[in-house]
Amino acid sequence: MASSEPKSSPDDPKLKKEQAKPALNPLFTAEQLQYIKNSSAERRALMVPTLLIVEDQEFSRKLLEGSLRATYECYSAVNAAQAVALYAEHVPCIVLLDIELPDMNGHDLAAFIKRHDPESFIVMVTANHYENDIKRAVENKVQGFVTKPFSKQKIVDCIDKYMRERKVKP
Amino acid sequence: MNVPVDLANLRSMTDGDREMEVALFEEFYSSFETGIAELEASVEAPAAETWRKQAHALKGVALNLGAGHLGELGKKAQDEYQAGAEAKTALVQSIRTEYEQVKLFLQKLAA
Repeated sequence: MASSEPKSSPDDPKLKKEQAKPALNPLFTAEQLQYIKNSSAERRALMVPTLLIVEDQEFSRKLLEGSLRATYECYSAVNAAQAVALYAEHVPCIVLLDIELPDMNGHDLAAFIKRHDPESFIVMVTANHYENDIKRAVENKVQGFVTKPFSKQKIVDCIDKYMRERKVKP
Repeated sequence: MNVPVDLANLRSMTDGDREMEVALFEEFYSSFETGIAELEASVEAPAAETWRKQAHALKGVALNLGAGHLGELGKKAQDEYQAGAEAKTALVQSIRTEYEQVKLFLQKLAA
């Protein structure tokens, strides 16, 4: 990591002490889990992927929505709780997931989704370049890590990667 | 000439849709005006986490807009979340000054 990186990151124990608010403890119901499992083949077969944008910052969310909506079916969540509900309802092909969410850390949400839906395709989206964020993204086996500023090319590259890697069964 | 905003990335996202661009500018003003007020209200040590989160959010908005220097100031504010109130107050003032320049630039562009 570059020498200009800050000494403290959001994982700084001093900060953790300050964060008194309990994080969201997400849960899929048994029915939702079954639906996610049943939707897997249908999801793989889609020629135009569906996207779930999880971003609490309105400017960045509108920028992504505005850029992608004309071509892709997009769902948007402003926090982790909404993201979990929308994921269970729509089982999106690709999740564009901000790391700093108001009710839960994006890495924890990625780990939760991956645990319950190993075929999920998650791209972490952040303005940070912390070494720990990259490490956690690798640990969670997410498929992408996009830093702000967004560009159309960065997003299209992620969607292309999904299209290449999805395994369409005959 | 140095301009406070490079809209190339933003325009790659909007495909040159002028209406969307202007709506995003409005969203940018709203985000920054709220965000700067939040920063001003959280310069004291007990609110360091609020400060850090707000600075992080503003950094992301500025970078996505293409306001590089404003993004750097947001990063500095995020990194220095444990600085003293005096230093933070000076930093908010720098952010406000740069924001006003960016806003003026965008308003001229949208006119």
